Amino acid sequence: MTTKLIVIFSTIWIAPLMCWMLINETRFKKNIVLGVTLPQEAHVDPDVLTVLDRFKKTEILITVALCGSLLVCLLPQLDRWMMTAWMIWIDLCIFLPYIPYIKAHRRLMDIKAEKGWKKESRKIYVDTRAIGNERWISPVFFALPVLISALPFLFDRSSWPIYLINTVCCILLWFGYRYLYRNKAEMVDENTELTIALTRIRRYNWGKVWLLISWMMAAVSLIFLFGRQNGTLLIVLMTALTVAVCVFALRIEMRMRKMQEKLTESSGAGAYIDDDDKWLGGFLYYNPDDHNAIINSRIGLNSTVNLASGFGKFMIVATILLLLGMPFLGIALDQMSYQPISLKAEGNVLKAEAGWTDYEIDLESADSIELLEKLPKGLSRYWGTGTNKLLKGDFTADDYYRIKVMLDPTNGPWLLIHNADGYFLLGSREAGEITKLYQELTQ
Amino acid sequence: MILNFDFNSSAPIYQQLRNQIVVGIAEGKLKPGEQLPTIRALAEESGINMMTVSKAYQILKQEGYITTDRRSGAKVAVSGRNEIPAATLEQLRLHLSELRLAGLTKEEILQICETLYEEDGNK
Repeated sequence: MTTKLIVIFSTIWIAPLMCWMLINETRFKKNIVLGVTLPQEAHVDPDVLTVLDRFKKTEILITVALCGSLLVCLLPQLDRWMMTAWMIWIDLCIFLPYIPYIKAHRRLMDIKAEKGWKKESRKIYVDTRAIGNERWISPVFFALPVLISALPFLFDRSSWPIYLINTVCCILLWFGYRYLYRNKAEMVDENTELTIALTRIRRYNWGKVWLLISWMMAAVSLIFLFGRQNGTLLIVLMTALTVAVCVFALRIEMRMRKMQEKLTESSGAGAYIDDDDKWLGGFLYYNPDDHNAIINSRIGLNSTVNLASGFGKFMIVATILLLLGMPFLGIALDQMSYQPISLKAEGNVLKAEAGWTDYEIDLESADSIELLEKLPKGLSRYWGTGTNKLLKGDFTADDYYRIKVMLDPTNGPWLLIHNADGYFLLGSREAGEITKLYQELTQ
Repeated sequence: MILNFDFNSSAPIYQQLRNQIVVGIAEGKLKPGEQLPTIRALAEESGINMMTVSKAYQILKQEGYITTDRRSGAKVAVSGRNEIPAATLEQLRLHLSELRLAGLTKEEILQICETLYEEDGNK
């Protein structure tokens, strides 16, 4: 039940967040609404407002349906296929809200053509006075989180992979900040001051987000250093950090959108930039005349790719395959969760096997073999698999620093062996198998 | 100054860039000594190739409309009488012939030139 609740509470926010982000696109920013560039007069056009209103209502209905459907995961009949259902649900959360978006976008494009608001295509506009003013955050600001990420290694050598990953991530974050940004002025109309202001706001917030994430990696290293002995504390701190960073990042994105809305609310009365012909469905950039592969999103802070470039094609195909592959990943996880656990005593060695993991436990050096009716307190995964039907890998527990585990947590009792290699906690899927094995080993 | 590149036009992009900068200088939208974007910045901004921007800047430099410096980049040349490029004189001769063949008198042609000249100066 706990796993189910974790699954539900860790993902149920995806549906309302998608809804919120898409509904936010019904507010005019940079003369764009639902991926369509429209003039000032469209702000009060009844046809446009009807489309936007209908879109908002549909999105809310979809979100309510999606949130309700996630509760289906609580049904015990779905236990065997919970991960598959969960992955399908995440895919639905990503794809479903875009169906009304594309419909509304197409309707707005029709209205745009009907009312004579459509402009010439295949033109690119550049304001010579608004470009070349870029100032990047010095790498020194990223160096500090890099150092802090690596610092715990001096005090805890055993968890070096975690500190190394965090340090490398911090360095990569600087590269991301510097090279995933398309250095392009945010031109909306002929107003150079507005272009410069919008560009500065975007660049400033872009740096802020990347710096924030690099500090998060540094914090992960510190949390691991101080919380590694206590699994519960580690989970609480990591969850709090993730929530805090997500809230901050979202706040930056929404504030940025608000500023774009505010600054461009009087634009679109005279000449204005219309790039609609380069955006498929309003959100996929396709422009063979642009040699750049990384492109700034039209609204907000994000980056996207140019589908006309080789890199863009690769990225979109990879993303679609990843999303479509998620249900298969769910099936694999469900299968893994129920995979058989084999325990065989051969001479002085006990062989435990589940999937790709196997332990060979030397019984000659074993100084204690115990039968546990309850799992050790504070059993927490350090490295490996942890589902409601299978615990496998390296774990920590209150009374044991490190413990190698291979068991079904719903099917006790369990066998605890201590030998020269450390602690091993084993279980079986078959009733009575462990008790029988315990008797054999202790005789 | 706002530049626009039309990819449906038969004129090559470097020619469009060169022409717009010349017109911009003539109309006073680009002031003498004004800094122009670097080749890299303009290419990145517009998405057009760096070689295309470089070619346009080279032509503008050869024609004396801009000056380039390794440290300060490209600037609009401080006004003075530039030598008229031979190609421009050739084009002018061709356009004059076309107007004569269209049946316009010398006075009418001069009147059109004066009107266009005034229009550009007032922009």
